[in-house]
Amino acid sequence: MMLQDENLSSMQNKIHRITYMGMFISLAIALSYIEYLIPFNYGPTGTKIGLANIAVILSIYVFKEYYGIIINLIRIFIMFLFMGNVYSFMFSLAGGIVSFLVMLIVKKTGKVDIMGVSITGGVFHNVAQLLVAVYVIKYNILFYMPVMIITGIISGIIVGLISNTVLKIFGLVKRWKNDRIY
Amino acid sequence: MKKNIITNLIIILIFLFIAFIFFLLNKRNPGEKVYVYVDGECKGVYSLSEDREVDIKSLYGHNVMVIKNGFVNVKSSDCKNQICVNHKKISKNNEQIICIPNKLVIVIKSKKEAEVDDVAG
Repeated sequence: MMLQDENLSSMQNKIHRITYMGMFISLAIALSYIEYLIPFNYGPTGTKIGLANIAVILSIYVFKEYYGIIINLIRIFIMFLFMGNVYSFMFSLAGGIVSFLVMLIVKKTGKVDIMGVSITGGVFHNVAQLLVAVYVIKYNILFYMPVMIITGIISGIIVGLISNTVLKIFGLVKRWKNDRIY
Repeated sequence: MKKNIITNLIIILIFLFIAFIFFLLNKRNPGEKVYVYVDGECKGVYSLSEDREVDIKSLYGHNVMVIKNGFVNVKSSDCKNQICVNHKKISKNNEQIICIPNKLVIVIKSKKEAEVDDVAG
């Protein structure tokens, strides 16, 4: 009987996890599509708000941290299938991985709240993209660095505000922990 | 809550400081020459003061660059994202238009810097 109950709850956990992951991945894809519809080009890689980072930050705070990178990688790959642009795939891959690692480190220090995490994430996303762009065209364009850093800060503030509000309104963390699906 | 705001401000200030350092490293002067690079190789040097249209054809694609009244812009390109076409006109030293799908860099340099670059490169 005991065993059966445990099996049931672990299966429930799995189902919950799969459902939430699916929801967050579709959220991330929808957000990056909305972003794609906003034409705003400055600099070699194009400057973006990084709305998809909302989904990543939410998943870092709601689930275990490594779910964030899984969700982001799946999003990047699916967006690549949609758009078929190899260069933007490379840029988002580099930006996604680097910004996730930095956000993880900053979050683990425990002294920074969601806003600070999203600002560092935004800045490092842009910096990594610019470095990949330097590698691709084999020409020094670090000239754009100040602009990329400042747009990273602004987009980080926007993303931080939105994800903070979402966390508060839905009480996602609390609900998740009460259900003991960890 | 107050402590969080302070740490956030510190983070922002650190990044702004880094941005400022990069900004100081790139001082702008009025440019004189337009350099065209494809895949890291210099394909041509044009004068900014002379109005003309230049076809840039390479393995990677075809762009049309226009120099007019001391400004440079890309009129058309066969690349996918069209970032180079939508880019604003450039006129100052060190400003660039970049087309990543076609591996194209258009950059304005003053004579002095260009010479230094040639020696270094």
